[in-house]
Amino acid sequence: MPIAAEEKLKGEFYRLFQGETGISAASDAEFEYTGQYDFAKIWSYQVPVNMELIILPEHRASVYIEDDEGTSAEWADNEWVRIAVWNPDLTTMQVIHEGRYLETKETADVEKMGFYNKVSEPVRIKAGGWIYVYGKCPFTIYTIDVSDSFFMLEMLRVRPSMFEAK
Amino acid sequence: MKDLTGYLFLLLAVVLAHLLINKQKTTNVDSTPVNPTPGPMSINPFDEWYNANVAPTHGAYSTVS
Repeated sequence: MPIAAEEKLKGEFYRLFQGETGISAASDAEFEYTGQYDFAKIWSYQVPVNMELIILPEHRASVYIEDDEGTSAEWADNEWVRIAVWNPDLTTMQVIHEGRYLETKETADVEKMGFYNKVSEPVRIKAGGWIYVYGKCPFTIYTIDVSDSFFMLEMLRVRPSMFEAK
Repeated sequence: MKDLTGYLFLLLAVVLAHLLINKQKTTNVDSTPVNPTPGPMSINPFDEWYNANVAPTHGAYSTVS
């Protein structure tokens, strides 16, 4: 008897953190303000083979960033954060969140965390696709202290079941 | 002549038996094709999973490709 596809794939709620295998972080020096309208990459994550991600409108995002100027301190509320998904060959991008740092800086209380503000319908990120987290400092020249910064992104993770023959 | 008639009867019997056996084989063949034409359910596994689990509450997805 053939096995229905929904039994071969399993979907699970998942929180992606900056420590996940496959996350690449910019070095402190790589993140530099290069112009008022530029976003600079802080983290990137490539979806592994045999996995797909779905971001739903009710999912939340949290990004905490410290600057690296003199004594490290949390970013000011009016800096900017962008979260975007890319296709595998990095030629097409869809922004799923873009707003002031204030909107994503809650890291402790899930109920206060912000939603992706540009997700009104489910967004599928296929195997090999990318998630990028960017930052922008419109008013001040900053580098960031990447090792003291972190993020959490909610999503659905869809994988083949371990218990079904491929 | 008598020998020849016997031979012809024997040949006719063999041919008739052969025809009957072939007809029986044809009758017993399953009408289902060996390789059925893919129908509308033959979408990829992800879409099948998505349609069963997420689409009912969230509708269609968008993706970058």
